[in-house]
Amino acid sequence: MTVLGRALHKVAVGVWRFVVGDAPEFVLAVVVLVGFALAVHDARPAEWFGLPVLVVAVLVASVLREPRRQ
Amino acid sequence: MDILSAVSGTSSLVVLLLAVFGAAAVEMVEALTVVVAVGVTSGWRCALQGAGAAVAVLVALVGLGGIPLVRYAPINGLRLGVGALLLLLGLSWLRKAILRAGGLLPLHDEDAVYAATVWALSAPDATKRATYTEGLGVAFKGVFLEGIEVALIVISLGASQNRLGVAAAAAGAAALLVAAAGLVVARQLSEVPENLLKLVVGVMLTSFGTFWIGEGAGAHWPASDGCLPMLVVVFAVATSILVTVMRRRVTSVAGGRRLEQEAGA
Repeated sequence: MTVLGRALHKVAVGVWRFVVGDAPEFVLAVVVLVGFALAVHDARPAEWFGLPVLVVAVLVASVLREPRRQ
Repeated sequence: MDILSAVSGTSSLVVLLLAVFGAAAVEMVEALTVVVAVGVTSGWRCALQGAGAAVAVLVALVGLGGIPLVRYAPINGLRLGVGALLLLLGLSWLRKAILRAGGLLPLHDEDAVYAATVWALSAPDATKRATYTEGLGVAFKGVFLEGIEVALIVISLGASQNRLGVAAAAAGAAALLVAAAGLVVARQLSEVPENLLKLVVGVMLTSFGTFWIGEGAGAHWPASDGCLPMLVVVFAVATSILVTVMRRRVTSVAGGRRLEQEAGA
């Protein structure tokens, strides 16, 4: 690998760690949430309650999973 | 109707100020620890120069990244992207803060960070020049790395609400306040309830992220911006329940292990 390649790889790893941190599942969750928001934006109860409920569900699942990870 | 929109605008401004101020305060407390450690070991000149250079780069990043976004980006796409980014940051902050508050992860230890930085800079074979350069680099890196997340939050929140100046001012005020407090006590601020601040900021960022994803996707929240405080309440309640559940779990696991040990003995 060239010097430039190594530098780019280092930067990419740094950006990934910075954005994703230690919970990569959030990236997938946020993509799904954006898709959900785009899909239900004109369906009244779903757009009001769906997003917050899904966000809480993602958080709960991630936090409750942690003891098993450890 | 005018009163309702004024209240909505004020509530979103208050949440924005709290989120940016809190995020900047948390990160600057961590940065101050590194700057004080550099100042004590390598001299205050290189510590302040390194910190000042990092702040200048961060301000330039906010200007270069934020102003074009405010002026040229399509508002719905911007809000969707910003919402996704804020939600990602907010969920990560919340998760870590909940696990720390619940006792599953150790709290961020400023004293340990301070001691590690002092130890790293106090190598016995270091020459004066090397110590100066090294100290400058460590202070720059400490402030820049802690501040980059704040810069990102300032750009996202400021650009999406067209309040870049207000967001930058809130971050600057927090940085000045922490720096002044550091000067007064002349040491790192290990007594600051950092995890509590992180919980509050995590709730704010998650609320903003959810709100902007909805707005960017074309959803119509009830009471418009006035919905933000309601989202804050929802996520705050969920967070406090999760902290309680995690504390109970950790306590019951610790109790079970103690019983096992007693039975084994």
